[in-house]
Amino acid sequence: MTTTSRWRGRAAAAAAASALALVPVAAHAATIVTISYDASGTSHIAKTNSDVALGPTTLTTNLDIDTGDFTGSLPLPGTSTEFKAAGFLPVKADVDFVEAAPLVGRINLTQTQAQVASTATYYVKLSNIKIVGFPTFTGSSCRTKVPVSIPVGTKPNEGFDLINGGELVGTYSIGQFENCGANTWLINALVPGGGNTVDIQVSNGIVHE
Amino acid sequence: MKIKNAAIATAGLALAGVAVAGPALATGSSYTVAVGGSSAAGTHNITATSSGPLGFAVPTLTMGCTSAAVPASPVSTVASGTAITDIASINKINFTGCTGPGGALTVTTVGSWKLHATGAATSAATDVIAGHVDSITANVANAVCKFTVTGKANGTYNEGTKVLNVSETGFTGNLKVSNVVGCLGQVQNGQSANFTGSFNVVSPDGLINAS
Repeated sequence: MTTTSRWRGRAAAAAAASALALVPVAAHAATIVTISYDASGTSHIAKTNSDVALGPTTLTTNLDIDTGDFTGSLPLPGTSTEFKAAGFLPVKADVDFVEAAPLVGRINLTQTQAQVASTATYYVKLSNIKIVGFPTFTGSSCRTKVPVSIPVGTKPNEGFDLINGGELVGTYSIGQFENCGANTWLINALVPGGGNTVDIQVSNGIVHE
Repeated sequence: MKIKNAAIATAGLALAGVAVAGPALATGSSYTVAVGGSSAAGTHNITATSSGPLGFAVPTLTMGCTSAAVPASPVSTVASGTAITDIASINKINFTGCTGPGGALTVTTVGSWKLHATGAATSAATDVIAGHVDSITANVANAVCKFTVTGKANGTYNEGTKVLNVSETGFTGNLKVSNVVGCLGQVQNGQSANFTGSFNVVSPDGLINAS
């Protein structure tokens, strides 16, 4: 073998080694199990002291069974709410929760229970606002400036059944609204604030093979 | 020095191999077993039902079943005769009402579980004989978790009350977990497992007496 061919051989070996080094180690593919549930509940808006129905709807989760992490969706049908502004003026509005990001969360197995922690993210949209029965011009783009993050999970020391479901609760804040026309200031005076609660019953889990 | 280190490394690998080889080989003493007063060589059908709930666990999760039964079919048997090691062959246990964190589980037995005795036994039909259920294989599963438990479980058999009491506790390593799929990261291959439960054994041919 000549010096040139030895160098060629060494270069080829080095290149092969480099190529091997660059081949990524095959990542363990996540094992995802999709489970859908019936879901319905209510949310209490603290500042207006009113309730908003949530659902009935379908909660869909894509669960990584190796880690317990999941993503999913909880589309909420439009609903309405009524409350009294300034304690005496009846206000009625249609409410839509527009999903702003996938539901994310984790199921953690303790020694004896499965516990859920998750966050749902929506724009809260208001329309068809009536004050003392009179329609007001709100437009079709009246919604929170930023998505509202709603953390929901199992109550402390209460478990979640992967098939039979369970109760998920949480507390969240609603931020400022925008694009509500002349009502923007009024809505921002009446609705945004913390201490809002959510209580959702999840049941009838179906595993999708 | 290199050779010495290599030898140590080889010995270490050998030990590691032993460590992952699983539970110890089946052990059991041989007994003369009479059924219904006869120690003639033969087999005798048995069934069993649990008395109370059954528990099983790995160090990270506690699970259990409301009941279990050894059915009439497939047939499970007790062997009579002399120099008997496999005193009973339990070919199926139906577990019902099994749950763990997250809800229902199915528990399916695999193969023939063997009842081995190791303790003292006399001709009296009232001995409580120590031993173990050997050759255990059970598959545990639900939608998000599957694993297999293999090995043996310590217990006793009370000849007088006909109660087989399985009491494999303390995560001794007699039972080991394998073939884990999912389980949200909370069940690991190689974990030790516990198994407890009592069974009322029904022997239509009569009392089972080992000596």
